[in-house]
Amino acid sequence: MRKVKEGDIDKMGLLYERYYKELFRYLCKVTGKREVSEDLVHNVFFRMLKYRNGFAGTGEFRTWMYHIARNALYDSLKKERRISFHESLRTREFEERLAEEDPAERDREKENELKILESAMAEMPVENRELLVMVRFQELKYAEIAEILSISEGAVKVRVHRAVNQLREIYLGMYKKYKDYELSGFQGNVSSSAHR
Amino acid sequence: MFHLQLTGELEPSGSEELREHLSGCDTCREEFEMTERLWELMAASGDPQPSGSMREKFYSGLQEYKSGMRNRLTWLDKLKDRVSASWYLFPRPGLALNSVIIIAAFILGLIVRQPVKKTDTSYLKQIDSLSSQVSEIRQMMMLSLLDNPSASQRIKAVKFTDDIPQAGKKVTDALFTTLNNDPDVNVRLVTLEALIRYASDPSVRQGLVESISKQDSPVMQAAISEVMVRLSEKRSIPELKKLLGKEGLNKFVKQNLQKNLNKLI
Repeated sequence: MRKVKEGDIDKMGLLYERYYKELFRYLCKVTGKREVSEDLVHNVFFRMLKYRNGFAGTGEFRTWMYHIARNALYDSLKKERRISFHESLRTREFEERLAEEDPAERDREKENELKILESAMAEMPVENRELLVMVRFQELKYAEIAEILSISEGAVKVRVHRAVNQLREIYLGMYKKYKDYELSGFQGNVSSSAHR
Repeated sequence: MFHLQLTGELEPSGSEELREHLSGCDTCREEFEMTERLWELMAASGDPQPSGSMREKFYSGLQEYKSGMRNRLTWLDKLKDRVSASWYLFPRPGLALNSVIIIAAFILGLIVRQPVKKTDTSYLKQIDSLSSQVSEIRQMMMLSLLDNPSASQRIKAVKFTDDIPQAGKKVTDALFTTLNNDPDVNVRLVTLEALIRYASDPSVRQGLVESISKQDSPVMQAAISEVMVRLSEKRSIPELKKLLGKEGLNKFVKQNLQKNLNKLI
């Protein structure tokens, strides 16, 4: 990034290759929207170019990138006002996988559990969802998250703890509903009941 | 704080403690197992991959950005080159500033001048029409005053022509009538002087020549012959000769006429 700052714009390509997938995963898991996330990744890299002089060069590039990504993400969410999962990303992928697999080997229970998890994630406030994405999907260290969010590491641990508890509660509530439907003989798609 | 255990951020001693606690607490174990299950499910929920077009879009965008930056640089460079090339014209910043002020003032003057010019011409037009009106009034006053019985009033009337640079036929006719018929010699003399002013008009010159024979006063005869010399009016020679041959002509006038005739011939 220091070279980009000095005017070697081509070096941005190297940074892009290294981080675009990671950034896409983060944005996609938080927003649940594939196209929006692709636009956001594009937006983030060009914001970094535009504000390249703002990169102090002392800290980690990754932290700075997440700072910019979060700004772009929250700007986009503000525009939409309502934070919701329009596109059932994981469901689609899962369905694609189902088509390839032998139906006899399908783990129907796990399939439904994944759908419930997706719905439960969508149900959470975006700040908590984002934290879980950072910890679980991006595999960021607590110290890194603390730097990205500009809070202490202890505060990150507390927030993650709350987010995990919240997810567990929502998940269990949805799972219970699903089991009730199953017991009452309703074998339909769980997403119709789990999705709001 | 199960997540610390799951993310591997718990110290080994803390991890040991947790395990001991979970073995003795069913509620906590249940919670932990549930969290662990969610952790596994999250890992199994897939890793979304962006489309290929996203990369293409980025690289074409990067190229555009670079060319945009280059254009901006070359434009800046061009400007810098021009400034440095013309720098010898402005060896001192003060001089450059002065030049800028002068040029700006000149341009401002050009801008401001335009409307003023317009009003100026309309103003001049107004003055022109006013002065022509005044001139007409003067002519009328002159014509009416020429009929005044007082000689001094008539002289005053003739003097009005001082302010009438171009007299019409009406005025010159009235002046000639005065010149040839006015009983007062002073009025006639003033009239003669007034008519000299319009001598550029051929009809006025002709009138003056014709007037020679009509003058009886020696003063007028001498004055008119002088005028002919001043105007170098050759057409007056026959008239002047005729006057010279006239009986009872003043001796001084005769000498004067002779001298003037010689000058004209």
